[in-house]
Amino acid sequence: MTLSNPSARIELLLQASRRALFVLLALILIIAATIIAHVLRPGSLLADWSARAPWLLPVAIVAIFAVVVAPMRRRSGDAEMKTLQNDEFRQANLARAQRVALAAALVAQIPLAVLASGLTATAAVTIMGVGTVTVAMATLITSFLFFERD
Amino acid sequence: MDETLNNTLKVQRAMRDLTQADLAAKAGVTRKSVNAIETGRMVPSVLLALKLARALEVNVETIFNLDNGAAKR
Repeated sequence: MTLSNPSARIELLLQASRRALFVLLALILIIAATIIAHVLRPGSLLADWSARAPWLLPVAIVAIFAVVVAPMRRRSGDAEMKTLQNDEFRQANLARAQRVALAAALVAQIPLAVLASGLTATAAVTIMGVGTVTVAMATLITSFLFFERD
Repeated sequence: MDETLNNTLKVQRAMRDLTQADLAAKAGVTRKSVNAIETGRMVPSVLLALKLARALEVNVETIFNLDNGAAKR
């Protein structure tokens, strides 16, 4: 199978998409862990790394965008990319992943509320907000990758 | 209601000596879609069923059919 073959190019795009989702998942978890550490354990290594190297996160986001996301965006008009975007199995998996993520976000409210119960109002709102978004996004990406596996 | 959709996609594909990737390229879908339909993990839309039938140059009913029990009802 050569790269002139459309199905080979689609397979490459699928692999690139999976890699991008793994990187996005890691980024979401790192950012969420840092914010939660700021609230619960200020001064800890996890909370302070962003203060010691404030340039690291923006540089990492730009680098990830340049290496992983931008090449896929440039190809958004390609026939292979349109095939990928309109693929029924992929759309069905995304819909299933969205339902799972919604359920996970709803279920997560109880432990998050327990966790936030002893905190100040600002800290509680931060924990609830970050926790909900992180659980939803992480579940969405993880379940989509699971449904999309070979 | 225990209607089951049977499909002969794998057989029809094998009769034409096509790989899943070949059929996917002809029908304009990903290989994973073809694999999911063949293994019964996904029921395709009418549009996709027609695309697959056109790619294999057969009628939709040749590939997809309801099982006998459901057909009698």
